Amino acid sequence: MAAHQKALTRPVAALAALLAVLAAAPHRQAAPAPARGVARIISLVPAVTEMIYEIGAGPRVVAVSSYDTYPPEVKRLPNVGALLDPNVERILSLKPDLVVVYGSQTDLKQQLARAGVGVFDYRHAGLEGVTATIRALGARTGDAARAEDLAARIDRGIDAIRRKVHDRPKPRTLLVFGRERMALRGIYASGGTGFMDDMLTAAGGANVFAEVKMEAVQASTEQILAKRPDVIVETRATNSAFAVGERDAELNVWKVLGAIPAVRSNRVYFLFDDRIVIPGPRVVEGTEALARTLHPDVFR
Amino acid sequence: MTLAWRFARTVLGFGALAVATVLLAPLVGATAIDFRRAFDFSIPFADNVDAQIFFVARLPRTLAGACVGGLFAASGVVFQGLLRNPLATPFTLGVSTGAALGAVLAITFNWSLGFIGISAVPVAAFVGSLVAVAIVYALAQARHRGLSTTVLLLAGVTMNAFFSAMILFVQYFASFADTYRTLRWLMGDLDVSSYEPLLAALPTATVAFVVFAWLARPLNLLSLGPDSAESRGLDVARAQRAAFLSASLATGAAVSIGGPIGFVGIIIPHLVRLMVGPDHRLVLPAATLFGAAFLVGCDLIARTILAPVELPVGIITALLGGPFFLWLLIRKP
Amino acid sequence: MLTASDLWFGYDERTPVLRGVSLTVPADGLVGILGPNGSGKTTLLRMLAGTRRPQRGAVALDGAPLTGFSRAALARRMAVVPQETQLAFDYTVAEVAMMGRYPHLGAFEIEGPRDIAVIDESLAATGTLQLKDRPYATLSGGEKQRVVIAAALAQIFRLKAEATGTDSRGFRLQAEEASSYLLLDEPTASLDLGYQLEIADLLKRLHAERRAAIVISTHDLTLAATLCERLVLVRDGAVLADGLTDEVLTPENLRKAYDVEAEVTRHASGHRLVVPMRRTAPGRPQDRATDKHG
Repeated sequence: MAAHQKALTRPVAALAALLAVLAAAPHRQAAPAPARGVARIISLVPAVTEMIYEIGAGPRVVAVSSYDTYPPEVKRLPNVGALLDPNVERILSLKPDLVVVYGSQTDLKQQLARAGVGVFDYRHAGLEGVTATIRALGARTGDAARAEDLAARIDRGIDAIRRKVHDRPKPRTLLVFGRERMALRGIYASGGTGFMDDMLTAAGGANVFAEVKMEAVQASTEQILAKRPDVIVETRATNSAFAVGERDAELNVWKVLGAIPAVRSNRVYFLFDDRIVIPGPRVVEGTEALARTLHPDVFR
Repeated sequence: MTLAWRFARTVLGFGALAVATVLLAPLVGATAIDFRRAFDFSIPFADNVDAQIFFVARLPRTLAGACVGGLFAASGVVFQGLLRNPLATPFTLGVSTGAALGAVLAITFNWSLGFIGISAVPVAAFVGSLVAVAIVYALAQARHRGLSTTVLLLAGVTMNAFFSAMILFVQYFASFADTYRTLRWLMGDLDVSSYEPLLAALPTATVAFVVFAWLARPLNLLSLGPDSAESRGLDVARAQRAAFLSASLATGAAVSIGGPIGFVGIIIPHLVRLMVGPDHRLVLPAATLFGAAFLVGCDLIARTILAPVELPVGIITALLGGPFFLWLLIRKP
Repeated sequence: MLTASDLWFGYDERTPVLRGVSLTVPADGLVGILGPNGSGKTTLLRMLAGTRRPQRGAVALDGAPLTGFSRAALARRMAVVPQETQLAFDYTVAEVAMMGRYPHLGAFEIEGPRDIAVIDESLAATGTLQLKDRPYATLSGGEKQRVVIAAALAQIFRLKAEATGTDSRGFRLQAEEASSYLLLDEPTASLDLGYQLEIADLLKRLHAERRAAIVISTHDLTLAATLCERLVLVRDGAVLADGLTDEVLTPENLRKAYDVEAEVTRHASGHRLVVPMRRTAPGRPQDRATDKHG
């Protein structure tokens, strides 16, 4: 061979060898990977973050979303954005093996797939979706056994509550998760589908908006008057609380609708409890909190 | 036919429409009411569901619709006269976007006015509108003696863009729930459930309408050009200031009651001009009354058409507004 | 009599638009303010009408300074017809003409039968009564201008009952006060030739019949030459010449004003003619010195 041809053969051979190695290397796809492949986890979904910790994979979490607050350990972790603003660079720089994303984050999923990073696709569903997600998650992270335990525990817990209240009359309930402060404007309530509605049913309540097949309903005063709820439950964030006198002022706001049973019999409740609005492993506690409010006599 | 006659006929005609709408709208809704029970004053109000649906849910809502519709329509007329452009709206100069920014901040950061017992959102919206007015006015005054409508338009459009960007900025950092609630607020909501927001807006609205009454003739003069108007004895700078401030206040009040409901401020002035001609002395009262009837009608549709779900009223006005403009374009003048 | 004394005005400090302009318009005069574009004619007209204040100097109406009049009172004595009138909305001819009556109405007063009679007469005087209910926007250029002139007439005139009767047929338009002024800014500049003649004839007729003073500002030499009794020649904000038309329209003055060699002759029909021949070099500054009695 001529001198220059000889000089080329080595790099070409190296390149060919490299290509061969890469071709033979196992593909890192979205298909379920063996447990040893998931050592670094990033979660963009707070509910799933809770599940990850609960099934024992917590130590492997390297980053969470900007809205994660539970368990308390996550506050020390870096955050990589959330549904609308995931920081792809940051995510990739942390070299995760598995990223928990929302089903609607199609761009992000494509970018992660191209980078060869595993993706867990979270789909928002009803109460059964919680246990289904836990089981699927466990299969992905290699904690299938503990996931199954957790799921079964949740199923049992919810069932226990159901049994406790099943023979009680179901109060017509308006479950409000958002309202303008000090006014009866912008009232957002749980509709007849979704996990909040499922929890309410499990807790022994009858959703006044049961026939509206939407997860969230903006309730007008006419609708509330027409639905005549026996109980009104307003959920608030866990770490917020009423200032002095604020509770009375907010209760007063409902007095305008004096004809509805909930107001007349003083059954307007404020629950400072995230567990009711997060479809995660604490749904049992959340459902129980709801059940205690609706059926105080059953839960001594 | 003299103007006095035409004026009387216009006010009576549109007034009858507005009154009829306001009287009939509370009688209609997604829920069936027993009207005899509702008006049976022997039953204690606190126990009377039918009465509460009528007097707490529907009647304030209807009155709010009339008030907001009248304010938007009239201020639309005034802005169009001030800017000498039939495409101007109450939203063109950034007043309503400033109000929207105030409301978005109040909703996202959960502001409260303590225990005064009123929501912070309408107050923040009104303050936002005042801030917008002050900035736009200051900008428009800065470079010209009097108020140059060109500079006013530029300043207004710029502040509009700026406030819109601020709204997006706030929404980007807000939680999903807050973003959702903000978006819904931006679509308009007339379910006031009490007379307080209307009474609170009453002083502003009254002042605005008194000024509008005075502005009718000056606006006619201004539509021939400010120099023409000046030579006919009009203090043009004063009239322009009065027009801008009164129409902005009216818009701010309307947005703080029901949110930035679009299209009323442009559809109604056009329709009214088609019916009564361009003389502002007829257009202003007619637009006010017709705007009131129109928005009450739209809200009626919004709360009944997809029962049991209620649509935001802004969607109905937008759905009517689009085809309206298409029709304006294709009809033979 | 309308008197301007030593008017100075500039939109900013560095460029004065009017530099010490003085002139007089007699109560029944037909005066032209003539000059090239940019010479300050429109601004001068606004000062005479009182819609703009000079920075120095003053304008007086029959000896009383304009600043002493209320806006409405002044508007009843002086009406301005702009070069072009653009409407933002679709007013009818009658509505446009009626706007001329606004200075006569109180804050919330509505026009009455007398006002309607005035605008009818005004429209008739300009030959546009038959267009009364048509939208202004559908008119020809000449018709539009005539309607605006009618509105101006309605602004400064009132009806006076004829000696022979008091029914509405016996009204005659007459000037509101002893001296009323109709000021027109480039009345023919945007019109076709036919309409130019129309407007010139109308103005001549109005002047003869109604005994109101007419002031027109124009750069149209022919209009100035044929229509005006007196001319004020301006350039760069200063008065070059002021006097009877024959005295002012000389080749010397035209050269100073327009940098043009021109001849001034009289046509067989009696019309004055200005015939531009050729451009000259722009005149030396001393040739453009203020010369009030050219």
